[in-house]
Amino acid sequence: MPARDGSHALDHVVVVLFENRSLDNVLGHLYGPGDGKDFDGVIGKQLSNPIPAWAEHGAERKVVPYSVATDMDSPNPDSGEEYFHTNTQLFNSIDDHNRSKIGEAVTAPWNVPPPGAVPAMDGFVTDYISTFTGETGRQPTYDEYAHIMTECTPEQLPVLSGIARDFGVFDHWFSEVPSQTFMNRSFWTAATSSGFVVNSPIGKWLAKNNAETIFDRLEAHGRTWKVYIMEPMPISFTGVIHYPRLKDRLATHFVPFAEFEKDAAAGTLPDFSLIEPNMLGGHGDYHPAFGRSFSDTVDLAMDNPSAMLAGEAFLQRVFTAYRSATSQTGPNVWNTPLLIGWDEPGGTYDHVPPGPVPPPDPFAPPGEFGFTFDRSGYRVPAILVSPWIAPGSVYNEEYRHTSLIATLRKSWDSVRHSRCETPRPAPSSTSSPSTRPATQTPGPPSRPVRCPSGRWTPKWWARR
Amino acid sequence: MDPEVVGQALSTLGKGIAPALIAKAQELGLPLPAELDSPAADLPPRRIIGVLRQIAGHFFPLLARYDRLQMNSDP
Repeated sequence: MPARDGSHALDHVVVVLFENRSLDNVLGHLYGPGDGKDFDGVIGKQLSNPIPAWAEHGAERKVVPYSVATDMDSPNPDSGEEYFHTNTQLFNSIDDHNRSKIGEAVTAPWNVPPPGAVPAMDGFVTDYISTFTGETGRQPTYDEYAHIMTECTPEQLPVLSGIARDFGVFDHWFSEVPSQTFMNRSFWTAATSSGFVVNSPIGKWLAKNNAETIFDRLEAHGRTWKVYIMEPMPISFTGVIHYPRLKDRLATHFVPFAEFEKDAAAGTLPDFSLIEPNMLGGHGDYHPAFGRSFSDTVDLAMDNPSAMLAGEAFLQRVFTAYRSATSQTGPNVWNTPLLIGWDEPGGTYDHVPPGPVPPPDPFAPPGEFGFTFDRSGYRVPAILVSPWIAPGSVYNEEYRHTSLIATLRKSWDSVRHSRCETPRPAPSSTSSPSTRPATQTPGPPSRPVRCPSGRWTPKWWARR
Repeated sequence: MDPEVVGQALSTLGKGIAPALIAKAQELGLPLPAELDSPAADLPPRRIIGVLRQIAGHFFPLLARYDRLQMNSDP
């Protein structure tokens, strides 16, 4: 029978990681001042970004106010997300020679802000106009760039918002690196990106990201794991990112998501499950659109009309499978929380500036672009699902991706991870949250929980 | 592989992954689709996904197995 005291609430863990949305962008309207919650969203705030004077259209308006999205495929084309784009987004810092440049065309000093600069979160419009121009060869109209300053309401994203309201939402979960997917996913599973600061070229990950992963450490301590990939994606990004470490596991531990559904229902989930949405053609990952800037001559039905809506559908599939885990003897909802997270905000607007962080390895040389990993990326959504969590919970403390490894290290004591011995992810029973904001342990084991008896029932679930 | 063709067929992430996986497969001596035999081969965007799947199958065989099952069950 499931334990009724929460003492086994973290025996197993399931994590699903979506793509490229900020907290404001998808959950900013989750709670407002009238809801009685301490939630740092957008309701009741006058948020805007300045329009650069060099904008060819709409500069006379001076600012773009934050508003509700009218397009479920927004922003389209995709917003910039590399380190040099994020510098512009956070600090409104853009080198003249990098204006309207993207990818490898961007050159030093990479839009780096002046020393000591504090992020004002006021360069999202600047960067989007520049990126749009680089992608399409023309400057966008006001309407075309204003949608970088929009976000979805709970009515537009009912699955994500419904789960967030029924369980616990983190309103200060920061991405680790102010840049793209691969680095942030690597931090989720290895607490480092081996000095890499941008995705490209992908070959470097296959050859050089030799950092120890949580999977290595789990195996070393007899714990089980699998990576479940949304079909029909033929590749696991986790497998690519950690290829030097995991190449001998690709044929055994990387399976289609349908196996998660079977394992959850059968009570055979591993100790640690990582779920990847489809991040290639046929996105089911909430990622901003990518296709509309392509040539009209491309004859391919490549993608869903909206990766947001496809992400909603996949999240519902994940949640439904999680709910089915009611085995009396194996992993089940009572001993297995589901953490719904994101890798990075992807250039979508957020109003909360990220702060400084200790580098993962203080003795390591600077990484690519001279970046020293001493400041984090900005906020992403994160939701914790477990019957031990009271509906409507909000966690205001700061967390980052390495909080997952820190939590596992603390809760599964044997799973000590060498990277966790470094200041960034390692929790310490004597450290103060005010000085180690990224190291707190989220979730049921560290906080009072309510016994779900009488609430955790099919009837309770059915009201959703 | 023509980067423009790859770019037309795949998302930003896919653009980078396809050539990296192809290079890795070549390095490991894995069999590659016939389309990649000739550098001058005309590979249309429509075929990129199929080619990528073939190569990915060498690295992630359980994901490729699902693909084959789906294809066999299609009418």
